Amino acid sequence: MNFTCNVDILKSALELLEVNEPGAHLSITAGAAQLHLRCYSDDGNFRIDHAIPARVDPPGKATIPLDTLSRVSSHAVGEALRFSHDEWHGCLDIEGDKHRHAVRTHAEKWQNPVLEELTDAPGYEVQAQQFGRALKSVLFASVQLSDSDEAKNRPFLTGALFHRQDGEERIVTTDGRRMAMATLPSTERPVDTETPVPMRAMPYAACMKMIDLIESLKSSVCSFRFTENAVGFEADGVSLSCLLPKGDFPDFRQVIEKASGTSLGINVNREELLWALTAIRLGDDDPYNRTEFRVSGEQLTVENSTRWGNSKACIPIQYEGTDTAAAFDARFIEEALLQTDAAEVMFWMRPEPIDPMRLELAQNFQYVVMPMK
Amino acid sequence: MQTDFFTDRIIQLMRDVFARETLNPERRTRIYARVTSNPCVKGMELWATPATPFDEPSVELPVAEGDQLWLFPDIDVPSPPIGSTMSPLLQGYLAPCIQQAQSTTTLSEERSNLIIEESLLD
Repeated sequence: MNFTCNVDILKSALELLEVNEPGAHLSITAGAAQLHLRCYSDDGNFRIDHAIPARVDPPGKATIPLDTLSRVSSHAVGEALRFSHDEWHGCLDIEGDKHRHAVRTHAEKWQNPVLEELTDAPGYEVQAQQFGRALKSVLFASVQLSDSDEAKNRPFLTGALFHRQDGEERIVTTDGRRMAMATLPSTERPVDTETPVPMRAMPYAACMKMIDLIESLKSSVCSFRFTENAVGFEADGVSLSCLLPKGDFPDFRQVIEKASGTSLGINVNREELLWALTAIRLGDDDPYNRTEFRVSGEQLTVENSTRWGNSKACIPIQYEGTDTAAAFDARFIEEALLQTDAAEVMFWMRPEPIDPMRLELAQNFQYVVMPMK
Repeated sequence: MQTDFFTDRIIQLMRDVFARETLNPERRTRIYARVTSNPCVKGMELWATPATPFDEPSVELPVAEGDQLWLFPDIDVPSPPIGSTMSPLLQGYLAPCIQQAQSTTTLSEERSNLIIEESLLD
């Protein structure tokens, strides 16, 4: 196999393929005046494909560690890189204007055949920028991969659910304690109600990569393919395929129903509430984060009682309902308030202190958080 | 086994033992940490009620998740039984103690002493 390609085009492609996966592999297939690059995880359950133009003669295929080619190309600018691979040699030889490299190749690793089934699944298009913004805004409420115990115990909550019902498209995340839901703005295009979408979250790493691709490519449209166990995503010729985590996503509609009681909504200035939650924190390493929210008369009081002492702040509000109080993990509220730039947010607290609080962080952006005892 | 009764028994057991035995604060903290790292045990009360003031542990651990209510209680992963999650140091003694505590209303002094003996070996 021999091919030549522009290093700047190659670097751009590698940036798109980059995944936060240790030991990821890069499979290069050269043929028909282009290189088909496939980055895939070591477990074979996650992959990204992209093609770039190249002069090829003769065609062939080689697999190398992803990061080696990124390193080789990172110091070159504007030049043409010449690649040659001989299976007997066991190396991919790379030659630039003033540098040469021999990168060891290895046999192609196993890739999950379930991902191949996506090829036959029907495609489903969404408006890319709206989807990317919505996904980015709700992902904070998902189980984070950094919390390894949670991710192991509840893999079906690591990531985001893409849900369609009655012509509405929603993205939902939850870690079991709080839930964020963004509804995509309706568009004039006809909504596909035929393509089945499983009630399973798309993995966290895949969601992050989708956001990255949409922002990098400035795509206007992206498309999905779902099978029972896998999701495929495509934007401007870059496609991502991965396995869905095991386990069904919980029924989030019940949560919204439960949190949507008859209580009155309360408007509060977002920055004032953020300030208050920060101001009452007496210590940075407070492990409790338990903050009481009291709505009484025309003010909202937030109060912390910790081993350092007691601290509270009051915010004026417009409210004429019954007095209400409940305690919440203040981190959950703060994180949500940082996901919107709305001047005011609206929240609903129900009379029982064991009921969830619902926040409307922006139009089409709902958040539900459970209290603490 | 994840009941208030169960938790109360462990807390009472620790209080009894620490009130009787001399342990340096570092060792005491480590025992606290081991018990509270068990998801079956709510650790907050342990910190609030040390046997004596100077026994206040120097390192605090996060509140057990028991204080946080869940949106989907039915999907919460059940905590494994104490025998499989308690550190090897304590599991051999605390689990029988709890079993005994559940069948009788008073704790065995002999059992309490066993915890101390084991912790001193560590």
